[in-house]
Amino acid sequence: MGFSPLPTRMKQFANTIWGRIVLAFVIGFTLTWAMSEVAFLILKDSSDHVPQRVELAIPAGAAERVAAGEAPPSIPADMVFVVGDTLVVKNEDSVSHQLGPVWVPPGATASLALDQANNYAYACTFLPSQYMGLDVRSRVTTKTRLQALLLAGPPMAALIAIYSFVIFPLRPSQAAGNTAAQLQKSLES
Amino acid sequence: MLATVWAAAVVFARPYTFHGSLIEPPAPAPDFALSDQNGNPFRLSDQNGSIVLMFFGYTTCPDVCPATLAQLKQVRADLGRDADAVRVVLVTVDPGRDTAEQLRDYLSGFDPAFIGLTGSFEQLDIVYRSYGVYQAIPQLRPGYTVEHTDRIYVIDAKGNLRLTYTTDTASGEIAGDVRELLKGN
Repeated sequence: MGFSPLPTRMKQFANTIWGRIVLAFVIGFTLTWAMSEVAFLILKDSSDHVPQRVELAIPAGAAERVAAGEAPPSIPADMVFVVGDTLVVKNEDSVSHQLGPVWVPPGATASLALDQANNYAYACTFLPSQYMGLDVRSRVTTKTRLQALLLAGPPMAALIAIYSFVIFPLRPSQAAGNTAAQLQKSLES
Repeated sequence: MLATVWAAAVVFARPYTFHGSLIEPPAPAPDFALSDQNGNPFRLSDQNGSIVLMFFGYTTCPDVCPATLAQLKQVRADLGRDADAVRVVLVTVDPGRDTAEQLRDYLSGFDPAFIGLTGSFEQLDIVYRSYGVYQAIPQLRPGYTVEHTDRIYVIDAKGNLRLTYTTDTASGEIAGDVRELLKGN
């Protein structure tokens, strides 16, 4: 039995039922991975980052400014986080302040681990509007990528396998011949 | 083998993450003196050595106060033997109706170990201000309700304010944090 070149062996392999299914899964998962990566790239959020500590400083005199209807400088009305971030509120004012679940005595710092994605509207004592929006978003992690691949890969592979059987049907004699040849080869080895 | 396991534990061990809002660095809890449900004087600084879970509420509260006290009762149950190192303190926001006797009757329905504190409005107002507590009676009529802050404060064994919680925090999470504080962290 002579040595057959690689493309020929691949063709023989692709003309068996299991060969076709394996190839369909390889192509399906590769396509899914490529498409999901492109989608992640297109939809990538500029706020996506490695979890970090985000500091918010309440300046001295904030309570007086709020009482006068003025917003303290350098405090945004909304903030965007990713799951895993820690919000650190530093109170430089002479009275205690509150931001939702965070209560900070004067001169102290309080932190809150943001471990759940959600859009929060928190009661807030250092903005004239009396509320602050905290948008906590999910991060795109390796786990997210793997989930996307595992969810979309199998149906994509199954569709490719079905299409391949419809468009390039196996020739019974060739398929049987290949199977017989494989069987003989395995017996010889 | 043991050294490898130990090294892996050291490398991969994550520092404990508290569930409430963590006050950093720990700030000395403003001290105060009030009267408990038995008419005995109560000073916060005398509780050093125990962890204090403090809540501001009132005995005729229809919703958040009984729910929070039930939650704090569950925290003590979750703590098991460690519960002895924890004191649950209710400071009234309704001194007009919450007499010592009223507090005693009310708290005995939850846990006789709970401490209820009352005093004159002037005494209490200083405590409210120190802890950033909002308290208001919108309509003073029979059966009135009191608007108030519903936050749980945690004061560690050294008398420092360490954590605050919203009342929707799970009792198991609070108990976990208290256990961490009992380790001296």
